[in-house]
Amino acid sequence: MQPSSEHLIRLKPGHSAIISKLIHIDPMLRRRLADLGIHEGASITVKRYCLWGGPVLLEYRGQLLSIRRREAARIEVSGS
Amino acid sequence: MNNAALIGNPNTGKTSLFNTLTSSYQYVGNWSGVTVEKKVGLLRNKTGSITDLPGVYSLNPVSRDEGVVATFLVDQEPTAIINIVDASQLERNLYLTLQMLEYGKPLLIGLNMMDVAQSRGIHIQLEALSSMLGVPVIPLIARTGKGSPELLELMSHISLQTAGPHWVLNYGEVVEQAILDISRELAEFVPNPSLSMRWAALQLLENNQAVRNSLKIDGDCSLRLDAILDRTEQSLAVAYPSMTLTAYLRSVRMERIHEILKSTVITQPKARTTLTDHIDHFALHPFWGVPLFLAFMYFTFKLTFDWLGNPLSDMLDAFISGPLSNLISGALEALNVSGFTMALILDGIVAGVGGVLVFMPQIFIMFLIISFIEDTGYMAGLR
Repeated sequence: MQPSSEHLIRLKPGHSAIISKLIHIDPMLRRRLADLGIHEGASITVKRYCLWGGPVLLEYRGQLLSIRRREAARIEVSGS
Repeated sequence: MNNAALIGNPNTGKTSLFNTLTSSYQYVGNWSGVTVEKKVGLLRNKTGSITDLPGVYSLNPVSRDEGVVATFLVDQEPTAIINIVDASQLERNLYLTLQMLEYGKPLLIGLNMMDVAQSRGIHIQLEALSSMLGVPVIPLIARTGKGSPELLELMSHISLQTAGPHWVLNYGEVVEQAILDISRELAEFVPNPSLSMRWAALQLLENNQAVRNSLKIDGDCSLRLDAILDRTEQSLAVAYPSMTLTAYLRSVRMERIHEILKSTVITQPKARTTLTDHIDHFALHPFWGVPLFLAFMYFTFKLTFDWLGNPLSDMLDAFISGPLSNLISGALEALNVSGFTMALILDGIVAGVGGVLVFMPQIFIMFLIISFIEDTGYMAGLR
């Protein structure tokens, strides 16, 4: 049975998923993501994990952005 | 005197356009937030001034820098708003545009980066967009200056209009009632009569602290305002249990934006990968990217010094201490100047200034390569 939700950081580069919960991330980051149009229900793609524990590069509708791994670990996603 | 204001998302080319429209110079950087201070310039056709404001995604600020925009809109009285919109990110950009439409002053939309949108297969029907928003939409490529004359032309006409766009987005019964209540409260505290009450009320409902602080309402009014906000939030929770007031307002706007996009934008999937994608595949390759960059840096160093910089520098040095010095000393002798003056000019000025000038080749080469790295986005992509 497929797990109903996992964290963004579990995705491999090139894979997409739909964001299910943003409630655990820093409120300012949540606001910034909302400004970019990223909210619960948005389909987001992981592009790359930077070297040495650095940020993770994401793509949403042609926009490239990077967030800390720590934050990516708190974003819950489901399926794709 | 006409005072226009440039508003838009970060990195939409506002500053580029500001340079083109005015006769003043402004450094254009690659990172957002470089315009922290307010910059005012005189338009080239002398029909008025224009203020370049910091890029923001929404009028509701997250930081002090962003608060500058909201404060400006409350305190100052711009006669027109030039909204620069990134054609390749229309959905995100229109969020700010809707708020500016609610502001109610005459508005012009400069649709920039049309070339980028086109290369991504995004086709925007300008007339349809213009009619749905109720304002003129002018295509631009601010980088090259394309579209700027048309924009300037339209700006000088817009000063003749006193009415702004008639734009009303209905937020539902609960919020509309709150808007009326707040407008009533604000009536005595408005700094200038041309400020739209509806706009101010909506910003306050969204909890825009910058607008709240700029309005300078007194303690009593502030309490009543808080009461209205609480009331509204509670009434809303009945129909929309898991949404905050702010989230609700955003969702209403987003719905309208999607309606607009559906009737004005056609997206074709990219037929082929672009040149940029090909270059990025090599330059930003996860494994080879770093060594490639190091090789590039080594190349830069070599070019600046050993290969090109030093030889040119030596030639310049030889010229200054040789033919140029001889020419000057010859001229000075012919003029019969004193020994002291000759020493001052030859050993002091020529040698001194010359000593600095000989480094011009290296400095020039190095800065040329660095600006290439910066402007192509290589530096940003590498990170």
